[in-house]
Amino acid sequence: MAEKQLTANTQAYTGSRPASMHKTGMRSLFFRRNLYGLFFVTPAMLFFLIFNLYPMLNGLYLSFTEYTLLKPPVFIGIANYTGLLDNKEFLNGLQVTAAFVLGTTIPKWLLSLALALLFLRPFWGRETFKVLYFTPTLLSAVVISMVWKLLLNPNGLVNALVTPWVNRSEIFWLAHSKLTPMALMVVDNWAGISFFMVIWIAGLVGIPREFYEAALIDGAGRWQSFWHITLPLLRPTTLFVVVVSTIGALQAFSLQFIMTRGGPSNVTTTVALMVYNYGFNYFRMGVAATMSVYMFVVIIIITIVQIRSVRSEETSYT
Amino acid sequence: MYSLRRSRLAVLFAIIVVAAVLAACVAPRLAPAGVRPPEAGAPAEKKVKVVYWAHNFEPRVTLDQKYIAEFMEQNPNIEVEYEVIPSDFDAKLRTALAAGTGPDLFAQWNGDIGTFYAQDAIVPVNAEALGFGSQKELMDLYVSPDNTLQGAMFDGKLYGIPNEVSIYACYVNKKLFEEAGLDADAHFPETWEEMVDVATKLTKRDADDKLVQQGFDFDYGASVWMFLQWGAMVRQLGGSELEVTTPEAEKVMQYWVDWSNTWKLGGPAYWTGQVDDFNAGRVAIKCAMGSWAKPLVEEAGIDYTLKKVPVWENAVNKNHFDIYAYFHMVNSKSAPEVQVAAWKLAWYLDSHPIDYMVNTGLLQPQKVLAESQEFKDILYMDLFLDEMSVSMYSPRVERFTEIADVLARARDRSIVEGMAIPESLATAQEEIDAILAESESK
Repeated sequence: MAEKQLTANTQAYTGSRPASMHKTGMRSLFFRRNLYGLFFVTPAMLFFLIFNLYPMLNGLYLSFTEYTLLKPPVFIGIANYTGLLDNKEFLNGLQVTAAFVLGTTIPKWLLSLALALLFLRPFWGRETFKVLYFTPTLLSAVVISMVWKLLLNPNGLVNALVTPWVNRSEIFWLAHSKLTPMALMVVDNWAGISFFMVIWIAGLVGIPREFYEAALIDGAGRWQSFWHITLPLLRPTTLFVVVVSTIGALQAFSLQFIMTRGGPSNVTTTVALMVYNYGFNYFRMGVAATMSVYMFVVIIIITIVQIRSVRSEETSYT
Repeated sequence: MYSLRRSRLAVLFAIIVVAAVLAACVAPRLAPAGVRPPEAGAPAEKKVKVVYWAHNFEPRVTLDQKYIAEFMEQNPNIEVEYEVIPSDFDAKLRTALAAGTGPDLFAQWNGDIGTFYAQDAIVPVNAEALGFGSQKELMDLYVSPDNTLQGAMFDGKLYGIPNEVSIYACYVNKKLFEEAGLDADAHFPETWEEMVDVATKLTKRDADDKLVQQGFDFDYGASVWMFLQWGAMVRQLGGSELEVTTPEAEKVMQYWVDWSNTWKLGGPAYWTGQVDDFNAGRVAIKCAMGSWAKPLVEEAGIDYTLKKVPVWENAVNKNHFDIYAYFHMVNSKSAPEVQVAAWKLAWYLDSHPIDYMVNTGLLQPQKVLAESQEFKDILYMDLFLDEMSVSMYSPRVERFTEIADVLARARDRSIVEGMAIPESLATAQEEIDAILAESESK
């Protein structure tokens, strides 16, 4: 179709010139168009090359070096890669990150979808509530972290609400080896659910109503409609939500950095926070780069698995 | 023809954009800091440019600008480019040094100085260039130089000139003492053992047993701040803060753990900030603030007095918490003539300790300041200086921040997770030894 369109346009340009000229003209046009394309794409390509590709390649190179920031990098082969496999702190960081991913993705998928379904139904004050629920998305991670840090203080609002119910005078939300990771997961879910709610709503409104009407005529109930119509037709949206939320969770940094600094005793030290600490506080940029490469590989693998699993389901549906 | 020309123009434009961007990326690496190309019509004497970075502290910045202008007037062949870094100074300085675009002169805290020294990033003070016969002559201008300048000493050489030296003292809320039936002067604890009793009397819990007022608590902020307190307490007992499996280190850690878990007087969970809780009247004694906090406390309307940080009853060393400082340091990558100019600028700025004390509250512990009437007129400043004359800096080792984090983890393992102290400190010792061994092997 695109080729036909191109041919039509070319004919319009060349008119009734001889065949040789016609060919030359086409080539010239093709060349010119490519040049124009190159002209417009150059700034974006340069931006990508300088701010994306170069740092990535440089990071990959640094992962094979010992680099203290203050002296030129020294090539040490795969020593950083093998060293990290024995690094208890890094292995702990992987565990912390994996737990954070589980604790902040699955609840986000389910709760944001539930909210989206709720907000599709008409009820009094729906738009107001929708705006209120969406508000956390507009706040920066720093603001969210600072506010929740105050709320979770032993004398904060959360304790005032919770302690009477659990018969405790104080709960140390941010200084407890079990509660602190969970507290951060709750905050992250609170902050992130509304964003995915909007994505689900966009996906849901795109499903034609006729499908539901047909299902209703065929005697399908609400649950059957949801299971056999809504969910399958939401697959592109599901893919987006799953991939984006997982990548975001794997890169978790702000909450941990501001609310706990990775503590107490590294129970909230994610790999992203370790990369920062090793790179900028410990002067071990080579090791930090290696951690980044490991995380890059993990993210790529998880993303590919997620995309394939959703696509294979899509195939079986059709 | 026309279209071809336009196509060529497009290609030419793309090439120019690529070349310009590449040139911009490469340029800073080609031009070493401080060496600038001569300008047309410039005088025969080569003009030297010194790039100077400092963290943001408004009162000091104003004074810096005044003295930099004076300095340039007196040294027409030296141009100073003064840059105040508004936030995250440490990371920016490290990144800039890594990129080879770091400043020629910078004022940085002593926590990084061990790494800077080990990595040959800084050069010793050029006392001769400053008009001194020797380094000792310069050091003799300071009060207790073996203590106050120790933070920049490596192998007998001085690697920095302090533009701000600090030490923690205990800020005491007199009103909260009175409410507890205590007198801030008569009952202030001089030992850590007494501190438990006094803090217990000052601690208040509400009807629901919630802690609403603390007598005293340590500072649980950044791990390096913990080191200033914990390490100093170990040293008081005669121990070394880098050898943590000793009875001295265990005793101090036991005290910290008991403070939270046995005596229930506070702990990391209650920490909200270095100054906030004292200024809000929630803590009666705060021993983690330097002289810089006086204006903040006064602004908060707290009726306060200042006391020296306690020592142990059986202390071997009578040091208080550790000294810390911002030192003027000079970049080893700068050209030799720029280094000389940078030291001249640093010393010019640090030659006005009275003015800096009076207008900014920053202490440059020089004898001329200590003997001045202006210094004597400022309440409690002598107390800070007295503390400094018997205290030391935290270890000046490479990767000090990493070691401090190791210790903070040991603290959390015992306070938060309840791990036995010897076990927790043994793990910490392994980690510290590994860091030190790695540094030494280079």
